[in-house]
Amino acid sequence: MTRGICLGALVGALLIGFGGGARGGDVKGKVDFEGTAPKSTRLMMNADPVCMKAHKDPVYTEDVVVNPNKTLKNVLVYVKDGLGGKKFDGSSAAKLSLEQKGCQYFPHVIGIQTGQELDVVNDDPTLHNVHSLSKVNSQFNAAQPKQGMRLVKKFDKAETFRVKCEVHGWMGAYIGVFEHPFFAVTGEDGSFTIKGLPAGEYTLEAWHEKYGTQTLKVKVGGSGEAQAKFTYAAK
Amino acid sequence: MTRRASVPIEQRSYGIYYAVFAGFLFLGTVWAVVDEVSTRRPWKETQREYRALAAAQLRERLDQAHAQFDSSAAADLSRQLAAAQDSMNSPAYALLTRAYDGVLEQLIRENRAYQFAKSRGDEAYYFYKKSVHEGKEDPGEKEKLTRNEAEMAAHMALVTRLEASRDSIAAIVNVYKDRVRQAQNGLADLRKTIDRWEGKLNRVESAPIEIKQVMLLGYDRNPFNDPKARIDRCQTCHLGWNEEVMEDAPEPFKNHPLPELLALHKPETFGCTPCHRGDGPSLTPGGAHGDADPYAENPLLRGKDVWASCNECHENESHLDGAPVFSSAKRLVIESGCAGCHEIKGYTELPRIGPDLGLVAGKATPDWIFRWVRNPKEYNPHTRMPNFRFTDDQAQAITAYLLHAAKKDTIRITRGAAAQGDRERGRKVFATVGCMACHALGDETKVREQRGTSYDIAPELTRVGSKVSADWIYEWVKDPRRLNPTTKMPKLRLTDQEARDVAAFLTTQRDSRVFESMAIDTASVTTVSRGEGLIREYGCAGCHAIPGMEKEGRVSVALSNFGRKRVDEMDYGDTKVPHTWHDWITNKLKDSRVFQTDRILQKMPVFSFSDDEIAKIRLFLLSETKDEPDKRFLKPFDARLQAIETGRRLVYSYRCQQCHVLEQEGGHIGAIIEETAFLPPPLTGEGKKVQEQWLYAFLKNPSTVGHPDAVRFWLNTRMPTFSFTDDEIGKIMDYFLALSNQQMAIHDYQSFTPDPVLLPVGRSIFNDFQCIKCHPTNEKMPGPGSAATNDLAPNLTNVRSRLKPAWVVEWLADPNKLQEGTRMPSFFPDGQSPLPDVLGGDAQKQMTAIRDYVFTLGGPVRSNASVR
Ligand SMILES: [Cu+2]
Repeated sequence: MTRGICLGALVGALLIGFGGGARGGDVKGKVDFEGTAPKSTRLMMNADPVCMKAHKDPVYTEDVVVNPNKTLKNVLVYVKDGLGGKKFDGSSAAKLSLEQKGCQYFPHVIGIQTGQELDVVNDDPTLHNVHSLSKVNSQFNAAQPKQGMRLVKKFDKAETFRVKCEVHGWMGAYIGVFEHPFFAVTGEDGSFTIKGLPAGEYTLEAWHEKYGTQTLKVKVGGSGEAQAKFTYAAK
Repeated sequence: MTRRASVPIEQRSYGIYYAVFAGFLFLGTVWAVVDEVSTRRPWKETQREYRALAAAQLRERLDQAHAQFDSSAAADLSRQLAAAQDSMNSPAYALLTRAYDGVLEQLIRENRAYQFAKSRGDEAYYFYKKSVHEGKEDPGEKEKLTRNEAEMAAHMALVTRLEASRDSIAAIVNVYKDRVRQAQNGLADLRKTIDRWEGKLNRVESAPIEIKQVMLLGYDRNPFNDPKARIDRCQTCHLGWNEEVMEDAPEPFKNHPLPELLALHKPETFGCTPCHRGDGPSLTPGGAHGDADPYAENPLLRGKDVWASCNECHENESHLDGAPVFSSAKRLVIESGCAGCHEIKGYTELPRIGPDLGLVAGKATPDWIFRWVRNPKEYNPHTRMPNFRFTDDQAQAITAYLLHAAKKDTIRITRGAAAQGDRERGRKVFATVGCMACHALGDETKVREQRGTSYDIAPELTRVGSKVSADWIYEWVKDPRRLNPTTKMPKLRLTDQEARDVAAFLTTQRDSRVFESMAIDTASVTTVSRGEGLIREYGCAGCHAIPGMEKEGRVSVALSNFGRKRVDEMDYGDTKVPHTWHDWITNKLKDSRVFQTDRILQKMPVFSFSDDEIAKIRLFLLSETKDEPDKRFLKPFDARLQAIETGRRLVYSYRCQQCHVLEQEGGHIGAIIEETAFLPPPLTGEGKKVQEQWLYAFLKNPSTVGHPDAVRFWLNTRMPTFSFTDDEIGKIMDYFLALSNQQMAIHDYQSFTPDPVLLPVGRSIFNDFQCIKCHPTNEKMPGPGSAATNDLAPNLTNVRSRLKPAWVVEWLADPNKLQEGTRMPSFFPDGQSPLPDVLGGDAQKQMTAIRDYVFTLGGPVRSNASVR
């Protein structure tokens, strides 16, 4: 056991050393949204009373969430090109979690490294199942009939795919798997930070479930931060 | 002159000449040796190249493995190993082994003593018995017997005690030994990857430079039909076929892209040429591949053509798992009706692909028939009927014959029956009940695209309103078999009103073009007999039943050895097409009249195959040879394979795969149904899944779809009524069963009784797992608005009379294994139950309990007639 932890610490230290030592920097940016946000649809959860009872206020679909500051939430931004053949092992990265709460997934979009653990938790006193609609990684479809059940998963290939609950048709989330740790998801203010990129030129890609992908080039210099801005327009 | 005279011949010296010629001879010998050993053996250099390349790759992997080697863990383990070995040198261990040896020695002694006592006892017993028989009982012997028996018991007791102490000492010794073994195993485990790459590297580096040959004794036959060995030396140069690190290597070192096929056809014993062809014994690329010789008998099959060789052994099968190109080429040939005009071995019994023309008069107008005969693609660009490029005159004559010969008064269409149809309702019915699984209409061509063929397997209906009347459509869609007993079109069980609506909708689908009317003279004997002659000449009866032409044979050549047809046997007409087999057939399939000249007329009609289809038909033709390996090398076409092939062809002909996935093919209707929950069920594993009685009843009469006790009563798409005969149903059932490795047998599923102990447990697991959230049961049927039907799973009410009990347990264990991509989640991931307190956490028992409970849903079983 201790061996594993030691090894993890060692690799972690190496990664940190790599990030700092190569005189790299962070990429900071924002994903703006232009135009009027599409009307979100109210989710009708009356198929399952447990789900209905979990919410006092109306719940809306999460496919397009425009923040008050005119930015777009749930955009996955990641380094698409520029790392050369460098390999990154995700097995020592901190475990991430995907929660099923009030018959919704939290977070709605999640970025994860290959080999990194994902803890899928059912917080509801009802049946959920997580069905990964992955094409490259092997699919899984496990039922979690009891509150508090957990399922730990790892992915070995880079791919962005949808996971859904077959019991509650409205429940869906997206998982982006990467062979490196340089990705981020935009939150309530539409900003993102990709930390510790070694100096160099990169192609960044932004992915949104409805509006698709955009790319731009970014240069990470010897010190300080690089800036990146994406803009999606209403369709 | 003088010189020669002056030195007599005996005194002349030829030393210099001998030296020079000896020199030549010597050089010649050296050259011969070099040529023999090196120049004429280029494969040696190739093997050296491979060695260098593979070694470099392997060394890279080895270095990686070394870098990833957990040396601290290894040090730990080494220390443990040393400690464990040390402890075995300790005085305590020595004492232990000595004790063990001592016990063993005593054990042997006691066993021997026991045996001796037993012998003595036996002896005493003999004499005692003898004395009894002789009438003078000897008490001395009796006493001896008793004494020895007591001795035996004492020795035995000691033996038992000694054995116990031997075992207990051995257990302690084993603890010592295990410690060593564990450390050794741990170390070996850590070094596993290193050892693996190291082993591979050593093998590559020490591999001798030599010819690698596979010999298949008696595989081929010589021209005198004597068995002949096949020699295959391909692996002399193709060295990396089985080496994963050679994935990106250049040829000839690249690894084979389809290891799953190699697992079935092992190159170590089967060689390469049975699939790839080429000249096996040859050791140069030009010779082996046939590039060096334009007349090579057996050139290498390149690209997709390699699939042609499957046919040599799998001639009887029209689908092979793992060979989609081969399977789709065969399907293409069957569907295109090639066998209507050409004799093709194995395809002579196929049904005609076109409709019965005896019925055409009651269906279409003379004008329509004329234009169709002249060029069917003008009306339906995607029809399978090819263009015969008839002149107006010829088309008129043929139309005249068809109208003349057509059966009269066979079909009664009630005039005005289709009145009061609602075209908008009809449009909806057409789009939902399943018509579009086979028929394209206007822009709705997604199913055709998904299918990937250039042609339709049922008529496109974009212009159907210009072909047939509303009344005809009404009668037809209600019951196609009533109008045409041989049609493959099934009945969709439309109500009269639905049929009227569909007719109203379809009659709005009209040809916007205007054509000049053609006079068809059915009364003219000359025209009619000219039409008859043309129909015979062009072989229309190969695809259509035509009155008066019931006994027509095939009009064109047999294709049974077409793959071996020589270039000089092919006629290239006036074209500049290169004189190769491939070019001839490619051009012929593109335009079958291309090689026509003013002297040589060609009658083969013009198809409109896509390039991909041409390549597939070409590969099929390439596979049409008389080559067949010796029987010993063939998998026997046994009863199971025969049942599969028979059923497969039946299923092809009824187009089941337009809706259902079967043998990894089909499900094309998925292109127009977005929700997976509404898709027709995949039929993979159906033979294992459903009860024979249920399947029989369902195929006979699938009308339960749409009824509340049906499997998915909320579906709009209907399983049609195919009006199968019992014989056909039997074939389909045999097919499904054979695919699941089962045989037709009578099973008494009715007598299945749930385990009374498991039943209540099953009920509680059923509730815990909340199965009812998705599956309707008789206890909870979704009412209107209670749940979106796209979240529903099959109705469980009738599983007892539908599913095989064993299948249900298997399904619960791992649904995705039986049906890939199913929405049903696994409740027992990795065979573990989430309920540790139920039935001792035994997943298998829990699944059985659920099954037993589910089998009680729906109450007593309705009786079904049992099958055969
Ligand atoms: Cu759910």
